[in-house]
Amino acid sequence: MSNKDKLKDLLVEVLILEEGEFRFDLMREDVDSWDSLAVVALAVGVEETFGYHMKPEEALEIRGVRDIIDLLESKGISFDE
Amino acid sequence: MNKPEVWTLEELATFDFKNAAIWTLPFLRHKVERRLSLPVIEDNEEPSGDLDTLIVIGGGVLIDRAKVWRKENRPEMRLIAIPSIWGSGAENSPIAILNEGSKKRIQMGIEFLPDVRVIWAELAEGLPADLVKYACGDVWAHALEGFLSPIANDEVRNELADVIKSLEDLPLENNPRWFELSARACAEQAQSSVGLVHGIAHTLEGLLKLKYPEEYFGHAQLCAVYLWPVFSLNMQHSDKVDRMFDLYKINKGRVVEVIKQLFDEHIYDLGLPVLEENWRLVLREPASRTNCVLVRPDYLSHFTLRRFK
Repeated sequence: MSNKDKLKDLLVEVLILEEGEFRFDLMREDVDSWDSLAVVALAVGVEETFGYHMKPEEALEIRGVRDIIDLLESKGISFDE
Repeated sequence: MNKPEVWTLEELATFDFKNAAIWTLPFLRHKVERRLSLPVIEDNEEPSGDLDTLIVIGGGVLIDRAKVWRKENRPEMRLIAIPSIWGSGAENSPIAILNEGSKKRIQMGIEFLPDVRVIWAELAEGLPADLVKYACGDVWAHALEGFLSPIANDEVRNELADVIKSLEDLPLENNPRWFELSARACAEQAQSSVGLVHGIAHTLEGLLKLKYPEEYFGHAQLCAVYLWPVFSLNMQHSDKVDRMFDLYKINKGRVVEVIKQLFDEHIYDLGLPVLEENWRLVLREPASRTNCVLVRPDYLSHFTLRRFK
């Protein structure tokens, strides 16, 4: 499974999205369930899925899916298909 | 972190209160009136609005009611909280949880922290052994979930590691040491979070009471019963438990040995169909979302297939 697919599956689970709701350009304000608890769950999920432990300030700065990809790519995790 | 003052029972009994009353449960009344000479209100009544001190003596439910009552009616009043059993740690926590039908309303804030707490060990004497054991389970759940919380900082983890090490050698039966450990565990987890054990307990309690009205179900009981299944799920899906226990020198084998004693097959069997039907609600429960391991939809099979056995 590619890292893009893993990220999609992770976000669908954390944000409790319905099939078809996920997009790679999703922003936090687009999703009601992307609240502070989701930020915590996301940080836990990113660590479990990609092995990267987000610092609290990094987790708080995430505004959308793209930010997560940018952060992980800066840590050497590739999202190229 | 703000904390209540701690008084002894003697200090409470000899304090010169101006306008105080005691809010308590009927079964505690005789013990209370033997020791304290103040007007007593039972739990089916409300305190009056002109008190300068309210002494609430009871379980977490009554203590939380008193916290909310104070906030809504008399915020300037001194609140003294005395638990009749350990477990909730409500006497030492800025969190108030009210049951509203089958749901729980959770509020948090400094206004919900009692001003004073007192340990009165005699109140727990004579309680049924199973209720005592459930209360022990509630303390374990607070300590472990607070320690493993992704939000916990080093200070919280240090304190809770110390609590857990003290709990390891404490039998799951009546012992006054449980009161202080419960208060410490709850105060620390209030600064981090709880996890899936509480997510399941919060979701299922009301539903189980509706489905099986002839059976007893309570928060502490459900925390006790689900603690081992959830802990084993956390261990199976992440190395976090091992890493954290190694780092803080907690004896994992001993912890597992103790929390397995809290498991109850009968309650688990009754709860399983309700858990299956409501797993989606469990996933959405705030406590579940701060579990140390991400709770994924397919983890339901851990419970249905009893992968903790």
